[in-house]
Amino acid sequence: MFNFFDEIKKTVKNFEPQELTSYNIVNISGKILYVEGHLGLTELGKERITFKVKKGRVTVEGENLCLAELADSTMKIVGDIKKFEVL
Amino acid sequence: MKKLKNLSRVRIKGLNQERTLSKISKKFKLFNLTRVEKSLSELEVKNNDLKKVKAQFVSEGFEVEVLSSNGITHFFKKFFKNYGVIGAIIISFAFYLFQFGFIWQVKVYGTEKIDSKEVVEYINQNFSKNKRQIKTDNIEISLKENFARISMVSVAIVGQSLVVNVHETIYPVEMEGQFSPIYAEVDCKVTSVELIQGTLAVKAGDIVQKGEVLVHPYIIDAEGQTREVNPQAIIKADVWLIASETHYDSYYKTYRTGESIESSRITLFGLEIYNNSKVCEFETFESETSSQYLSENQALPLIYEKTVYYETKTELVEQAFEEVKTQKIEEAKQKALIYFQEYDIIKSEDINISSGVGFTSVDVVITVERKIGVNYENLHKEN
Repeated sequence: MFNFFDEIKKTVKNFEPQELTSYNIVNISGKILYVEGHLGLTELGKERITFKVKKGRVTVEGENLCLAELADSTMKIVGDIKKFEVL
Repeated sequence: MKKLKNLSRVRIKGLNQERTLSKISKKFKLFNLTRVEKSLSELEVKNNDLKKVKAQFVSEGFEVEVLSSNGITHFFKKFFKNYGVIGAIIISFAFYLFQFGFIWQVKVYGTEKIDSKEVVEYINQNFSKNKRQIKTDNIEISLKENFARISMVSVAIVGQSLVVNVHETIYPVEMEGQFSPIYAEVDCKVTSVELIQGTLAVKAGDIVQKGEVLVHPYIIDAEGQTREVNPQAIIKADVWLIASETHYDSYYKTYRTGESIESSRITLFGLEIYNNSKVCEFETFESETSSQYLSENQALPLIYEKTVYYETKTELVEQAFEEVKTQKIEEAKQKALIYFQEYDIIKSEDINISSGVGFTSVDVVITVERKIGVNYENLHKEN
């Protein structure tokens, strides 16, 4: 089955494949942030949403943030996304 | 579109919601999560998952409130819990089924002499309105027996109407009664009479006036009883077509010279907005005026009025009768022949010329043979 992230990973030779299996994040025009491989929500707010990932934590900051979809390992955040950082 | 999604909006109240949300999201998909206050969040869950999600939040010590539910499944769930509406629908449907078994309307077609109301009334009084109890054959037989004028009838149940198609009996004219006599249509002299039916009021050689009875609409039978009949007879008579023409030895004749002046004007609501009038310089003239709307739909009622003045002259004409004698006789004949009818046979022509002071009169009498019998109605139509 075609997987968008796998296709990208195949094109990059700098890393070992197991190093690229923790999580995937796609930012679409600063309005939608799609996350694959999260390990749980840690903070939910209109200006900040934080969630755990393997070996770290991701913080998304912006305005009018909303968690449009939250499932077992994926989530979709919508709003005016200013920045996101992996700690 | 949002209302069509099978989602329910839920509000949860409690601390440390993120941990519980993460836990629940492992089993159920959660949508549109927003933090309203520090200990208050709103989210949407699928209607099918609502019960379980709610139970899980409660077991984790949260207060849960369902704000709204959308979607078709929710609508049906809600609908089937609305016993009042369901009851009303069932009652309506039952009533519909009940009333469907009855005839509500009787339609009668093909009646001319018979009053259709009478037929409807008869059916309403004598037959049930229940469809199951109605036997169309019986209605047909009953109608045939009780309405003498019905020659054929068919009855059918169409929906909730009883359709009655009637074919009426056509009686001979004699049986219809009410006959009118044959009248003379013009002043004439009866020349021959051939009676077919009725009683004659005239005989050959009689001079009759217009409107006089020629044949009475009855006969007297062998027992001396008067019986009405439709009068019929072939009556021929001499009819006189009369016309006259007068010639004057001298008279004034007015005629148009051919010269004309045209003037026109345009008005709007009676106010003149254009005028092209010219002064009529003719000594004697005749004028003709015509007007018409300039716009087709008369949205703007512009009226164009045109007047044409024709110059006329009058002169004295002097002419002896002998010069125009043949012409005048012919004119008089043509005048008389205006009354000539198809199938008339010309028997004779009489021309009488009489003179007075300054004039001569030509009288023409054309005698024709004509069938003159008409019934009362036709006589009045001609008048």
